[in-house]
Amino acid sequence: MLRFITRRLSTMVGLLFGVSIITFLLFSALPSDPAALTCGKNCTPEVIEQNRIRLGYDKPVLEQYGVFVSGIFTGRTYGSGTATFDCDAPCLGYSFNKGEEVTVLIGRALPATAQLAAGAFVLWIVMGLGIGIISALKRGKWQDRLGIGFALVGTSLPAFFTGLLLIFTFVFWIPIFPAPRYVEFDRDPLFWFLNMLLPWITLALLYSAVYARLTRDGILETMNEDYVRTAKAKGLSPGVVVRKHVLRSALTPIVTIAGIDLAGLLGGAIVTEAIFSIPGLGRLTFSAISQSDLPVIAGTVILTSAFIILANTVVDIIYAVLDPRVSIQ
Amino acid sequence: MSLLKVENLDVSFVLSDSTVQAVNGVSFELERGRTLGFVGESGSGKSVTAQAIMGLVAGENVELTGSVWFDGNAIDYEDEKSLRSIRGQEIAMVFQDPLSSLHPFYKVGDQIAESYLVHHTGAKKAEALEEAVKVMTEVGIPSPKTRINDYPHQFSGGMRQRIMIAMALINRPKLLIADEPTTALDVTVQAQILQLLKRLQKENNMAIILITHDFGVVSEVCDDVIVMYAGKAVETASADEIFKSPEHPYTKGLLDSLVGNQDMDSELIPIPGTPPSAADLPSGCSFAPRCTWANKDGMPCDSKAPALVETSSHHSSACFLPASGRSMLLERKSAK
Repeated sequence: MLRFITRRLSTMVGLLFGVSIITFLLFSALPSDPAALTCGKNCTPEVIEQNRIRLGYDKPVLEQYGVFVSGIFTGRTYGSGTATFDCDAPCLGYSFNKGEEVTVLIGRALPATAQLAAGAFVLWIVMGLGIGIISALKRGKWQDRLGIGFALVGTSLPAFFTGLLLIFTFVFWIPIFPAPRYVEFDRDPLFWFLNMLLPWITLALLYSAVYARLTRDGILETMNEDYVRTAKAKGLSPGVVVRKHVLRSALTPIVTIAGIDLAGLLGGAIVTEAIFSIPGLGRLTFSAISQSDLPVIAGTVILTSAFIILANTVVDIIYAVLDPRVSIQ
Repeated sequence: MSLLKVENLDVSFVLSDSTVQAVNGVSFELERGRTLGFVGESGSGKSVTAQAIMGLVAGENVELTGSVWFDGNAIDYEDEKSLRSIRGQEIAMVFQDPLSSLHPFYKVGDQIAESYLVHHTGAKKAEALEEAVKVMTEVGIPSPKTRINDYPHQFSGGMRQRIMIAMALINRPKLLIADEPTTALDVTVQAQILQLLKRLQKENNMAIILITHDFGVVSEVCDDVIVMYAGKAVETASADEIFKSPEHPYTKGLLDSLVGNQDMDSELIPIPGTPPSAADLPSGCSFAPRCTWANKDGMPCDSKAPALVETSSHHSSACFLPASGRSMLLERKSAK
């Protein structure tokens, strides 16, 4: 177990290096000049040149990358002479567009995204599994058709549509919810909850549809397994057969997908965050991309990759616990 | 009074465009402590018959008629609750593939104990596990005390089947239905499992219904035999009789196609053709299209289905032409 985890973690470090190199190379291939974007309208060629040197964009790409990596472990110092400032380890860089360290920006955006992802996750698991289980048990009946119809609609509708539809319906038409404005949980828990509910539903609709489908198919497939027949032959009641013998097998694969989906969402839900004005990682990434803000892009990309790789490891461990046939070595 | 009496059992599956008659008018009786073999090719309805007795063939698209008496009481297949009290307690079942028949995620001890716990309300888990260890010892699983904590995939095929048998036996059922219990096993292991079943039968005075396509297995353990074809019983007799003087051309064909039943030099004689689909049975005798005797001597094989009639004491066959008539036909043919 310990060996598995250490091996996985070292693989993760390697993967993160790969991801960061690709991000750097892609960015350096872009035609825009990051130094020119640091000073907006007041730019003079001298200022641009100064900023280029201060930020280190004058050096070759590989050297920039080397400085970036060493910054993560030992911190780095921007500029020279008297106009220097330090970015302490772990330093993911400094955003001149925003005038702040990337770690600070990410640290501020992450809670909102985590709240969004966690709430949506709970909601879509409950909805997805619930609908899937009912559909499977009522196969061919109206409950099943309704569930499948929901799944079809849910997967077909993009978040920007359902999100706007929800806002239109429940904010303007039947004003139950306040206009989207993010408030921290500590400041006003009720308002926070009301404000998060619509984005949660938006994301949950998108994901739960897939989960309903997977759950239903998994259950129906498991129902035909020989061991389910054995369970019935023992004289177990239909409820116990489903709960203990069918669901255990049918839901195990869903753990895998759920873990990866959650990790992906932690990297930011760009569309949903934009619609509901949630100052999360998605919005941070989006603005960084539109401003060619390399340090921020590199930081969020690496963070998202780390989440996904971590989730993979965790899912593998959970899977080995759930399915005794799988051993992690 | 016999332990199990089945009368005119019909099982059909109603599909959207057709009705598939899987079992057609099967009747038989089984005494305590005896072994009845169901023999036939795949799709002959032997497994469906057995599962129907357990009430395991159910659903909206299943039509089940006929009556089944167990231990003097008619089984009510509408009454799910009383059916559950019979399943696993009075009648237990062992299946063909022990690996897929055991739940991969649960320890074998728990799976065996579960059988006990369902039918012993109020029993503690520890007590059930003790019972599991006991019955595992009986079926010959070495060091059962530690092995209850293992998972099915950690056992060999033969050991897995022993676990299935232990699971079936833990409540001392009066009837054990074994559906091809040795088909998925090595030949050497097959013999061990059959020996085990025989021993356990004697110790528990248990009746066994053994479903197989293998006459070798029949000769090993069965007292009586029902040969099934296309959902019908085509011949019933004691096992000795079946081997000595098979009546039905299908039984004869099965025996002729058996390795070891001829001289070493003579070829195996296969039955030509394949069994008919249960959705599209021929109008007369189901076996007629494959039968070399069909319609000989003015017999109405293509238009009428022969009934199962007694040809000698405790020996019945569903054929217009009894075995004695066949040899007469043969003689006439050679005389010409």
